[in-house]
Amino acid sequence: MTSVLEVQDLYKIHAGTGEDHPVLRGVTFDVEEGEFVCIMGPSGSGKTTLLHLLSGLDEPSAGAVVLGGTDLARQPEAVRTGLRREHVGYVFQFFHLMPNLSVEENIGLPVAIAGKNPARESARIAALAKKLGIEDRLSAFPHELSGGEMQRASIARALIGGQPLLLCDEPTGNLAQAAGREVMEELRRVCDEEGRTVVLVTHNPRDASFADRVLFLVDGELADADGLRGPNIPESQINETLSRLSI
Amino acid sequence: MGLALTVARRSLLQRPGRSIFSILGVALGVATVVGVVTLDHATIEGYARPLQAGDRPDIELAASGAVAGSTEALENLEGISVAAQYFQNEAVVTLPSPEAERGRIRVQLVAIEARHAASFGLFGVAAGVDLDPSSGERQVLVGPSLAEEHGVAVGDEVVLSRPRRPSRKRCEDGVLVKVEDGSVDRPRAETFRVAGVLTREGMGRSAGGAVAVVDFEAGRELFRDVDIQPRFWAVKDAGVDLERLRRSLATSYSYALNQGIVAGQAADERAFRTGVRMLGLLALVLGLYVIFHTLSMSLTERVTEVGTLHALGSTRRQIGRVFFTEAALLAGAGAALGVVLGLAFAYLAARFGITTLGVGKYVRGFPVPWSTVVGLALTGFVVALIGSVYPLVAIGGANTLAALRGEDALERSRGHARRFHLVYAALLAILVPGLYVVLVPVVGEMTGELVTVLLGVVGLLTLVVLLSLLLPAALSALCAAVARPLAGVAPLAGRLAVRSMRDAPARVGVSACALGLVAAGFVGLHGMTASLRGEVTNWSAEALDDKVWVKNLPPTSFEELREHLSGFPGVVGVEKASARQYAPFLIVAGSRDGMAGFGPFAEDPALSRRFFDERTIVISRRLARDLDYSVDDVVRMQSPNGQMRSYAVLAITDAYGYWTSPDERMYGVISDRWMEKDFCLASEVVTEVSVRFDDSRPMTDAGHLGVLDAAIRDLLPNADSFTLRSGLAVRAYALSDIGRDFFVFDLLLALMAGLASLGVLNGMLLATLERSRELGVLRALGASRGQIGGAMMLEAIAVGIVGGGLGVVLGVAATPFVVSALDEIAGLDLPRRTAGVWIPIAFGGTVLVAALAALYPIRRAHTVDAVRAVRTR
Repeated sequence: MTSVLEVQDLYKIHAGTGEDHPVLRGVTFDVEEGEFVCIMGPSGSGKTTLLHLLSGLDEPSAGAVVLGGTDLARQPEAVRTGLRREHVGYVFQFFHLMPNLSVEENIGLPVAIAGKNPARESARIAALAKKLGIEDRLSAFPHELSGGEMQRASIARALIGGQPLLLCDEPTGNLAQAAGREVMEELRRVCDEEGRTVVLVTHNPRDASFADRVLFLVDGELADADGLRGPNIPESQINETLSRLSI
Repeated sequence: MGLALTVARRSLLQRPGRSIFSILGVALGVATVVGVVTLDHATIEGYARPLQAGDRPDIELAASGAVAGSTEALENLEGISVAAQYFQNEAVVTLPSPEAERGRIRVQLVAIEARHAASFGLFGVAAGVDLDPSSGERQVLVGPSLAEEHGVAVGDEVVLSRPRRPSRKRCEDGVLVKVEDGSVDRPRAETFRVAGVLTREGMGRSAGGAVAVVDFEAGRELFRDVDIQPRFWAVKDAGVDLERLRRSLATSYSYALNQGIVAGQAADERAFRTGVRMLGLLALVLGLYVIFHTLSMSLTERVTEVGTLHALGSTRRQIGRVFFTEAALLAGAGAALGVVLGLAFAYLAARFGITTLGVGKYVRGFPVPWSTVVGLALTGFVVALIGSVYPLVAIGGANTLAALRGEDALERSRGHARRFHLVYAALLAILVPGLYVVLVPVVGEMTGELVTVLLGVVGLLTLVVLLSLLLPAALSALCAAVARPLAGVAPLAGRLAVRSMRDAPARVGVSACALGLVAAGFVGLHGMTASLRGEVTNWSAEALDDKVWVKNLPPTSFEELREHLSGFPGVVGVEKASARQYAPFLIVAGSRDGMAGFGPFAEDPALSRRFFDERTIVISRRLARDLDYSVDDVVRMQSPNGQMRSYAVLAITDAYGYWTSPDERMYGVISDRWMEKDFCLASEVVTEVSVRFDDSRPMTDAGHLGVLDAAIRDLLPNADSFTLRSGLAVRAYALSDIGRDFFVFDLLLALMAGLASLGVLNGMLLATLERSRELGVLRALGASRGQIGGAMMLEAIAVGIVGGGLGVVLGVAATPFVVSALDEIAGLDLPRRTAGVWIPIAFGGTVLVAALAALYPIRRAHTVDAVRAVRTR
């Protein structure tokens, strides 16, 4: 197996008014191609910051994030943006669909960003929407969708560009339980059937149980270097680890 | 469809309110200035007809005798670009085939210095070539009827001769007498080769096309034994104004100015047109100002979109392109709509008699100055695009992560924004005077003094714009301070309004300044009209107030009428108006006895004697000012038989000689004795007079007019159709004329008020959209619609109060500059007045406009969904 993502001794320190505040401290792990990795941790543990660093949206204070063979930490913003466009699909907790675009246009956005004509991908967009169960909502606008539908549209947007790595920031955090389960099943499916690599941050044990591997982030450090390995990690085992780590 | 176009298009379509109001902002600005410029063009072109038979160049002149007239001397005069000597007379053309009558044709002969003939554009050549003075042969251009009806062709030889002259007459001591010299008239005849045939336009249409044009010297040869007065045609320099030209010509030439250059060029007309164009400029600046801030503010609302696009892999350049495309679509649509609205406005105004020369003046046709219109539309488009640079700059510094978290993503870009505001302020400081110079100088001559004064006015207005760009925090703090006392009455609304204004200094500052600009324009305009009214009132006190004009009398002996009327109580003078002469300004005949009882003659009887005994002239104040005459200066006038007469300026006053028809305040009065002696114009029998009363009692219809009516009926019992018009009525008409004419200004100011309110509306609307979550949360917490709407209304009123106050202060400060500019342009002697009662009206109106502008944003705020607001970030 080859590594899609390598994180080496990663630090992120926020400059405060009086003293510096370390958010991540020496985080190191690899993600292999086609793997579904979940990073769990309580609020403020640095999960979202880690995801921002993995996508190149933010720069680390120290350490390396190697994506597609390139260390993002050493690249200027324009290069990081290009790598993100080629390698990363992003799913946000708050969906961040463009409010003025229809669902179809939102899904086609990465295609347009890549400089291609989304109209030529309409068949693929329709097929993807059908897989995600929102094929009848393509002409609707975000404010007309339910939370679950918005997140499915967001996932479709993350998948349409064909990027190998899917970064998901608490994708069920804003959804009802049933809708959240459907979203997680979908993420599992794209990992299994399409061979995409998924990195998920969450504090929900149920969501984590869909992963091949669960890492635990506590106060900016990985609490257990290997974490839990699957497949089919029982939710009870995750809860037990969380208790053990006092999360 | 590319990313930029997709997102920009959707953004515009999904936010119709924001899009429509932004487009309207640009459109109204462009429309106002396009409308004004087009209307002015149509007005001037509508007065100056297309080329017709009998049209003349700008100026026709004759040397006064004090100078030896020559083309070179004339071309060296200030304000003259090209001149040519010419004369016109009847001539006889004898055709090659000597078939009796058909062979001899009477034509109108035009002899003109051929080297300059083409400069006047009065004729075109349909066949052959123009006259060539270096050809060494006598050449002639023939009119189209000679070619079409008599078969004259290029290359033919024709014989030209002058007709036999009639007996000459001369004005000698007031009598036209026949000149008998005993000679037998034998006209000269010369052979000319036909060089070309004229087109059927301009001179080619004169005398039904029976025209012959020859070189001046060749023509002079034909008329060698006849007294030909040398005359000139001239074209004025494009930049020189009419008064300067008149001053330049007055001492040495008698002249006539043709309608083409006179239309809209009179002093008051120039002032009026300048004012209209300045308002157009102001509207354009205001429109650009509004769109700039609309585009700037749209970024704040959409910063999460920017973060999302960036997270999805969009480069900052791609995101910038989205905003640029959006701005281009808004600006393009606004500019295009502006052109359509502007042309429609100008067309409708022209149709209803609203012109840049005042109201009730109808013009022919509707020519559009397309190059200027396109230039203005492009200016609007480009400056609106420059407005989109701010979002691009701000995006450069936007914090994507903060945007995704819903935090203040623009914190880092505030420094950029400030620098950008400074750059934009500098740009406006250059652009506004620059636009002024482009738009306005065609109306008149830009003297150094005038430029200084006008730039002072424009600079003051620019200052308002700059104020909002440079000191927005101070303005918003001022607005917040105005609103704070009201927080005691409505605690939540008051606090919300104060905080909202403090959080958005740029928006509040821009809104206040936009309103201030309109209020300043309004106060300045009404200060100017108050000064104009003051000028009319001052003039009226000397020229009108105690006079009554009597018209449509049966032909009556003036002396008999004067003696009869002088016996009635209060009558101190009677003036006549039956003899008038243009030399080149209006000259009327006055009666010494009729004028002796009032004005300067009453104060100094010696003047009255000199008026009768010597060639002297009393001139009006406006004539003296415009042509720079002083007492004892010499005015030269040409008699009907071409002799130049010199009249010394005896007095400068408006007390004598004003007549309501024609309404001309540039005139002179000479004694009826000299009018008859020098110009053979008798004035003993009159049909209209003016009667001057003493000022012991206010004039009333029942009093003075009743007395006069009875007195006239007493002398002329059969006179039943005469009319009486008091000076007070004339003054009232003149004052109402100012109000009617300046209605155009009020109309433009109303458009600008609409523009400013759009600015306020746009700002508040964007703030509402930006704060929709906050408003939703407030609703969820139990805040009533009234409280939220009240906060917004309070904010609008505070902005209106500050804007109105700023505008009033600025308008009052600008009024002296405006009046000075008017003085300089129009050559009027304006008293300094302020806008008076219009000052509180302007202030109240500004507050009202701001309050009205808040209604739509308040309505939108009421539609904020509290559930959605608390559900999502």
